[in-house]
Amino acid sequence: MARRKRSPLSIAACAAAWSGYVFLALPSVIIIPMSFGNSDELIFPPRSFSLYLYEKYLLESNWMAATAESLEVALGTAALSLLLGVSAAYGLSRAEFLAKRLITMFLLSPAFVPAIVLALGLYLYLGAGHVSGTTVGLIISHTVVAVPFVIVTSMAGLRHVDQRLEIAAAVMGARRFLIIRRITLPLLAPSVLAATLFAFLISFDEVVISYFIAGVRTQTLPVKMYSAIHWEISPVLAAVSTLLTLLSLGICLAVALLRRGR
Amino acid sequence: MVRLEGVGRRYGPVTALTDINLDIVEGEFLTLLGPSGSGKTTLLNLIAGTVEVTTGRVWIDGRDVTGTPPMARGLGMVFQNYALFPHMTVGENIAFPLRVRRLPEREIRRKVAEVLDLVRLPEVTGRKPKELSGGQQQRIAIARCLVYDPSLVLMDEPLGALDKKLRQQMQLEIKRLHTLLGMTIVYVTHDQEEALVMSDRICLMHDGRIEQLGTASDLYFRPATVFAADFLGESNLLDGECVAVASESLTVRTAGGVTMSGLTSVGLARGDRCKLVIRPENIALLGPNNVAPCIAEGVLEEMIFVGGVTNFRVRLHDGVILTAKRLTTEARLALTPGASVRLGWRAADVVVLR
Repeated sequence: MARRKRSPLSIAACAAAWSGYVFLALPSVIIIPMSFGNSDELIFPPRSFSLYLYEKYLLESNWMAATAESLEVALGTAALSLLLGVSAAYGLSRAEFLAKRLITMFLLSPAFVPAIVLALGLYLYLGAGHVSGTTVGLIISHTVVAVPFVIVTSMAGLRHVDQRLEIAAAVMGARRFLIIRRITLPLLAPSVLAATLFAFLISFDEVVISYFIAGVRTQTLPVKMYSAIHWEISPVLAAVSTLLTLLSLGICLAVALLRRGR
Repeated sequence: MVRLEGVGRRYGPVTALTDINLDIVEGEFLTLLGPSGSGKTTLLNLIAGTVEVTTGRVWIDGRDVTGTPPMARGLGMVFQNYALFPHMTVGENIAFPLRVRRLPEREIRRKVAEVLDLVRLPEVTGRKPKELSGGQQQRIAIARCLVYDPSLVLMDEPLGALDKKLRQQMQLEIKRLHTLLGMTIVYVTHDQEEALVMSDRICLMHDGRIEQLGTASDLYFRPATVFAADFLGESNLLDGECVAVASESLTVRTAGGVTMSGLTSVGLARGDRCKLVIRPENIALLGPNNVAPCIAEGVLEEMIFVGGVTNFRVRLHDGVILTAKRLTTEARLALTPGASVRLGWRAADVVVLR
């Protein structure tokens, strides 16, 4: 019974934490009812309820072009960072070699460098290689950001894959590539899938680097949204934001389910 | 079948194995026996190729495989934790080594069915390993190892996770398969009883070296060292001094004044110190009128009734405790601690160690 009574300090801390959450979450929450308005301005609360803004988003070709570009880049990023990240994670967790820690740190470093610094570096670098402003350029730069996450997720997954199973397969005569294909990867599948979803999401949400790299014809959705605020303050933004929130939420839920299934 | 020449293994500054020389004969059941940390599992892994040697050479079937990776050694292995692939069914697990060898699908199906019959578990093909009991999983692990007919099979404490009854049953089962199929088996265990039941020869390991190599009865009746005498079965150890040497026999007196004559000479000279090993089951409780070649008197300290046999712990006059193991009889159970008893044994039952 005594436990129920909480000190004023802990109540205050709790209240502070909750107001913090509310302050952070409120903008995203407010956007959702706004997206169901029917005027050509951003108004809260909306005066009437309709799917007008969603319809506008779906019918306007430049919004659709940006969405397609984002999808293309996100799929490319997911595929490329999966290939690079899972291979790197396998090497780092299964082999012994010189300066392994240093190499691990180097591969994870994009996660620690400020996005704006990374963006500037990639802009100059890709510009020199004449891929700035292209879809390939976007995929490369998003991959740089996504790979550390894939590596970390896969390495965590590989720790759960019993190495004795790989040894058993080797004793039975299986070569390394066959062991990876038939034993390691199937057992690693939930982690790999989670990593892929994360990489997709990281790319789909990325603004800072995309703003530097994207060209006129390769605007991604977040970049298009950012310029929409500057040039038109279109209420369609609310609809797009709501859809983006739903997508992120869906992917995070899927990852959580994958984790639980393990 | 397997020849190890001066094989050693170091892990950084730690030496796991030193200068192992061992010849394993084709078709034999050889057990690597020893306490944990004695190097027996490391030795098995060196043969398998999952651990590389630091010194020496490994030969399998007349081929030097010292630098050969495990997949090219063509042997079979059964692991302590079974190492069944959890994402595959029993059938797929057993088919795995056959698929690796690119056998036609029809033959794979036939061989899987055959080997499941062999381990007497025919109806589990479609199930996942975790749906099976520990004993069944062990049978599947053995089936997966036998399905590609390796001529050399390594087993790393395969029964360690099973309860006693199941373990005894599986020991006989593995023996049956060995007799039936005639492959060479190298078996690792720390359980001396298991080693005695199953092996043609036992290689007793201690501190990264071979302590003694021989048949079960060699090791049991003629232990070469105090460690061997102590590790296999129970033994009474006495300190003694050689007091007389004849051509083929010697006389030893213990610190407590027990004198034994007619012992097998091991090249001792008069005045040399030695250790004497006597198995408890060879020590008899003497009645007042009985005589024996070797006799010691003492006081009964305690009696431990373990069913068919009773252990009598007797304190000799110099404080040394000898254990005698006798069949349980009502007359013997009538003895009470504190009673004076005479113990007797034959000279032939005493092993003299330098």
